[in-house]
Amino acid sequence: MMRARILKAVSGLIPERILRRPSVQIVRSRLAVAQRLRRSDVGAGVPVVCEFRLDDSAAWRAQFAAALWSLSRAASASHDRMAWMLCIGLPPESPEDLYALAVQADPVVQLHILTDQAEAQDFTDRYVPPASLQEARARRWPDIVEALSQAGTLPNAFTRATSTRAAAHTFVKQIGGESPVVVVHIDEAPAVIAALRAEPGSVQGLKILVVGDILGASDQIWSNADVLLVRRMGYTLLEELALVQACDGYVGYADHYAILAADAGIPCLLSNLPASFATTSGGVSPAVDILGDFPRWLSRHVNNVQARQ
Amino acid sequence: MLDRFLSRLPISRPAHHAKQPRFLAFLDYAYMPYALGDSITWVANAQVYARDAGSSEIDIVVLVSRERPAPSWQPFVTAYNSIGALHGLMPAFLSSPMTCNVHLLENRQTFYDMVTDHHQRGGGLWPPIAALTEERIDFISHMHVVDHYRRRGSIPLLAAPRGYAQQAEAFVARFCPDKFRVVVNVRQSHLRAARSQPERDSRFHTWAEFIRRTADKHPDVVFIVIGQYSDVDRRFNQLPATLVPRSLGLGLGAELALLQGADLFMGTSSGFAQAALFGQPAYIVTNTEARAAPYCGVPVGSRHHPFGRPDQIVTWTLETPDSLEQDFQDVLRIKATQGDRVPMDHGHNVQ
Repeated sequence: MMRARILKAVSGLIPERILRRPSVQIVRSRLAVAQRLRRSDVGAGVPVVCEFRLDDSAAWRAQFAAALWSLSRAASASHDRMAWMLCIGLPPESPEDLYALAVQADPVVQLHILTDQAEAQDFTDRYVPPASLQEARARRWPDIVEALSQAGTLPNAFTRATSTRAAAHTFVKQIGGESPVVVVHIDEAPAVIAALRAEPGSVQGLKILVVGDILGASDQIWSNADVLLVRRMGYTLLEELALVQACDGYVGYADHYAILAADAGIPCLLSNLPASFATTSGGVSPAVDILGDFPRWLSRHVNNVQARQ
Repeated sequence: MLDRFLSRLPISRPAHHAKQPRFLAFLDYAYMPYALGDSITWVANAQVYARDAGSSEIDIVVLVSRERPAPSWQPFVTAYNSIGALHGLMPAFLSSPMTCNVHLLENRQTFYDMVTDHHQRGGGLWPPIAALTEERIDFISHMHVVDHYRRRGSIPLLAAPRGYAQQAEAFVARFCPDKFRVVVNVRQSHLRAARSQPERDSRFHTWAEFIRRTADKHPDVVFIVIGQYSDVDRRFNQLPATLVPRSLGLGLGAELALLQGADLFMGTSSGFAQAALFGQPAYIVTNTEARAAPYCGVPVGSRHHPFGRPDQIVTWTLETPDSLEQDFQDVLRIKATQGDRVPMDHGHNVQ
């Protein structure tokens, strides 16, 4: 301890070029981490940790996004605290989607994908400060509905500036973004297409971007000229999430796209929220709507975009 | 030196955590390029070093730090766009069946702590611990893999990245069930905004001619053209018996899974070719650079890598439709003698 203090005290006398040397940085890192691991109090320098357990749910991306939303908000509330996401269990498909979601948050989220509970235990024993762990286990992490109900009423969590977002903004402009652009989940696309056919011209110049896994989609959707399947353009979840935040509305489920959209204050029309959502969830995000059909929602929310313009 | 100094620091952790850790492969993108081939080679080396260390599992620690997100020779990768670069490579790290935990870090302090702590506990590492202070890693050489093969008679093979096999199966079931699947990667980096080494590229017309001839001759062959969205010439979509997964909603992970499950891989020496080289399928890799020979442990002109099977062929010149056809027929003959599936030839099996 004494040596650590001495090293810390003399570091101000050491030239910057020496301090930048990897060997010096390594030593300083080890000392800083050792000090952090001894901390019993929550505060600056102690990471905010979330232990996220992957179960067999098909909605793991949405659950992860909800936990991430809360983690990011907790970390941003106190400066000089990193956010660590411990994901316990491997996703059943497309593990890269965990990273695509994690990098939406600002402050930066450090992602640890641990294969099972035993691995997580080893990791936390060795690297996670006890104070962080206690804090994490005392915290109640929101489920999808809770995150949706609050996202949009609180300051944004998913605000990390990236070139992917910049590219999404440009893309939306290139396809005619002066008119409304709505992102639709692939499973909702047939209903949206049918609704638009029933009321042609309901929104002038409306552009529809379809997100989600398209392999299982019908040929009717694949060949439909009224919608753009963004996965056919080489886009992945990373780009899709950026598009959701760059558009004027999201139609789909209470999923990870919805959480990102709601966080950015973008109107959502979601079909699988419980009917009690509007009354039970306290401060309901004005962005999230479960009432009405697509044309009504369009005229209420997306036409407002035109009015604002 | 670093070891001695670290051992004197007051950084010990509780004794009950002292169990022997599993093998750890670490990567700092401050001195490692964002490139598929190099990432695949890094994973292949990690497997071999882990096996040498007696470990059947690997933990992976990757650092993309905001202050130095990319090596000096990739100045176009910045803290602003490095996320997309790493996201585009992530499935490569999962293509080792030995991969266990994966840590994706942006904080250098945590990175240094995890790696040096692991080293102090006596855990095996790839690259060696010196890479941390030297900030240098050999991400090209196959020499340790070759040496391992000579000593042990086999190498640990890459497989379909974990979490992507299902997508690949769904793709095959929908678009090409019961077909003889030839996965193709034609290097065309000149089609990308940040092109690199265009002299290594292949020509679209050469491959188009080969695909037309083969599709005509073998009606049950399908060509699955993989590669970054921008790298795949749009005219591939217009060729007979050809599918382009990236235009059909798939990403790198599913492409690598398709490659590992293919009847044959054909392509220019590049990132995907590395996945075939250290993987399972029969392959024909063309246009290998002569300057790569010393790093691969083979003389220029050799038809096989030291650890390659008879149905795994490399060539050292720019391909032509005739050379591709000749190599294709050579591999089919070898596959037939091995009892593997071969395509129909105008309705008759190639035997």
